[in-house]
Amino acid sequence: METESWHGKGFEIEEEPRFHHTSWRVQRVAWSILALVLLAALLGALGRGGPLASAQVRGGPAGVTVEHERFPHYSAPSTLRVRLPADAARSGEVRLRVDRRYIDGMRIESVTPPPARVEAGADELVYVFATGTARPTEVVFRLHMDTIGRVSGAFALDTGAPVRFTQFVFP
Amino acid sequence: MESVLRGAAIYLFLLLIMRISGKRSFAEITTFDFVLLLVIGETTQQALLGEDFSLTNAFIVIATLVGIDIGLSLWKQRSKGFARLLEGRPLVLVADGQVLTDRLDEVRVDVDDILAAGRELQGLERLDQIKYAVLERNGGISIIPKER
Repeated sequence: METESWHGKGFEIEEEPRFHHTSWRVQRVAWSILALVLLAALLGALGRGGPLASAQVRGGPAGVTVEHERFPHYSAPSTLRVRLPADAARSGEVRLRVDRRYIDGMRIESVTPPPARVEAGADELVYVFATGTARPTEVVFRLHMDTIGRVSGAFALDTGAPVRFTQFVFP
Repeated sequence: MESVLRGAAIYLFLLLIMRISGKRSFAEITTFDFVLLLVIGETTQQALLGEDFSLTNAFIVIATLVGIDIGLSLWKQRSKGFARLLEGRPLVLVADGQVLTDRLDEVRVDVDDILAAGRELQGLERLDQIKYAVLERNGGISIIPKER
């Protein structure tokens, strides 16, 4: 039945059974790939939440800890948390330095707590937070990524060593 | 530039995913298929335009989609192999009143679909009135009745 030509029976149709068989095989492979992609996405390997979606980089006991999305999506909302160590304040201020190029690749919607001021340097921005009786333990950046591909960022407390991390922004 | 890339990416992705899903999913408009088509339409809308809702962007994206469509149809015309890749070939499902069950299984069509097509297209009542039933390239089923 499979290789029989219908022309012999007076039915002028060219169905090419070998093509069909190959398509069905390719289709099945494609379905498996689709299933794997969905599984990866469900686990967070493609971003937007899930066990693989976020990462933490620690800067040691005197440094900050940065919690970020491994795979943010272009122009989608993303959150970045910077945890400050207990002794972060110096003369009533906490100074958080950020790599300027990293900030340039995103739109920042809000910084919580809002900084008292932002000092701009050639290749870094310094977010200055006032501390009174209360001391900030965490700074939350809510942002939208504005570039695609690999980005690397760095945060540091005024005198400390920078904590570096990379993200991959999906288009 | 981004407009052209977005338009091209979405067109090609949809083409690919429709081909892998097996064309039946998009040919017959049952409620199931209709909902799917509707939701896919809504999903692609934002991705096609991004955050640029200007007329220019809309024109560029539409021109890209139509351009690719024209390009593919020209290529299809020149290359039989490419046409086959893009659209598939018809497949006989019933021959001389005999249902080719393993083929039906592969394309996920059941006898009910064939009987429905028989009723709709030829006013046939029974399977034994069907000489040939063919799954066409567009996903619909065509019926050739037995001579009376």
